[in-house]
Amino acid sequence: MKTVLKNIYSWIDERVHLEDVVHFMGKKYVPVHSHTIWYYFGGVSLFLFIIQVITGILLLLYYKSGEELAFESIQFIMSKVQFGWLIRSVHSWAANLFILAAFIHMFSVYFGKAYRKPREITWLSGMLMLFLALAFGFSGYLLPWNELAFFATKVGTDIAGVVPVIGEPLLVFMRGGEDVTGATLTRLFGFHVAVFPGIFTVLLAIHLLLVQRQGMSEPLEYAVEKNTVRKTMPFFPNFILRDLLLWLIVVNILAILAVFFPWELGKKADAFAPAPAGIKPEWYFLFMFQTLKYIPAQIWFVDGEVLGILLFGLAGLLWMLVPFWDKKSSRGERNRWVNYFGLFAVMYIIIFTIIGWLV
Amino acid sequence: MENESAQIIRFGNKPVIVVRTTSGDVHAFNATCTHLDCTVQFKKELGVIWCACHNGKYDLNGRNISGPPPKPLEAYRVVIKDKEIFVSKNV
Repeated sequence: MKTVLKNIYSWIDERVHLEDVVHFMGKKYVPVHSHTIWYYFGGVSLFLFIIQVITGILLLLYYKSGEELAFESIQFIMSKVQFGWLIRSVHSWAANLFILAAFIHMFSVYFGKAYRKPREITWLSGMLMLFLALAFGFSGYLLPWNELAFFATKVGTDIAGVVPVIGEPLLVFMRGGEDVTGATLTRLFGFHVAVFPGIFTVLLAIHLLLVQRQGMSEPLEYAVEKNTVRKTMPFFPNFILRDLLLWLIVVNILAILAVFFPWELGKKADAFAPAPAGIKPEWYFLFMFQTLKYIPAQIWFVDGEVLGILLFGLAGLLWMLVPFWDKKSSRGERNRWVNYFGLFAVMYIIIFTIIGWLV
Repeated sequence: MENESAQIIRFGNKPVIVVRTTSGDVHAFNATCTHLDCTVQFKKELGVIWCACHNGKYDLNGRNISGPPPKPLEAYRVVIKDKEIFVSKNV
């Protein structure tokens, strides 16, 4: 067996020079400091994304898109297909954990100022992937064609519709017409299983390539101390093995959630039924949902919802462009305003999510 | 239709809410909330038309009275003939 593997390795090595990759990995080191733990969340996000791809493909074997088929096909998956309920539950839970891990990863990069020069492109590709992860969540939410999904999509696409100038055509494009119908379902299904994964894969490749090429960023306070001896650990096998151990823990958490709290299907969507009481979006949209509840109908001469959406859009854009306005961190200087802005965002998201959950 | 009750009917591809008040008056409105497009419902205990999505409230004349809805609900014409309710667009 060993000789066969060795022969396969030599065969590939002869053609693509694997030795160079092995040599590169052997020389790669990961900084060790009190914040090293945060490095693992990128890997956890990647792992959960891989789970999404695998379980998504399995669901695709039985899922049928369409107003008259979608809900029934999920019912079939959950009741007739062997382990279908488990695959769907894992897919739904892993989606939530993926977004949670991606958020933790993003905030750790932000507070560690790892976006600073020369890692601006890594940050931008990561932020675009985070937005895509939210788009994955939004589009996937409609696919079971249940009551909650129907109204969540109505509200979500209507929010896009109030954006000045491009809003109206964007709404029609997302819905495939004026209203949320079977056309919307077909469209979002296409985005969810083809368009978004395609774009995501390209961004992921760029992101991982840059991380490998540039190595892990050190927190600013460590990076500026030039004369101290730095502790490191080899990427291969030390860091990889730790990564794998954490992935194993994540699998266990996922299994517990998927088995003991199976994802419910709810009632089939009915365009002529009222929105059910207590309707809420997924937790990662809750802070925006809650804010929209508090904004008055009119502020001066602007519609409250338009103002709220524009403010969220502006904040998101500012956040994404942080490497370009925070010049101090790139120079190795402390920038307290970035921390205050970040802390405000974290507190805002946490507080409004909790209120949204409880109210 | 009883007093203090409501029903959502199909009007083409739009939901329309028909409400009968305590005094027996019948009103019909476009059931799509003017805030973010959810379908509203009649809340008997509060005597209002209510949107569950963002807690928007309208009185039984369709006027937005509380919460984020920016505009009243679009009113439809109601004609009652031989105990049958006919709903049409206001021209």
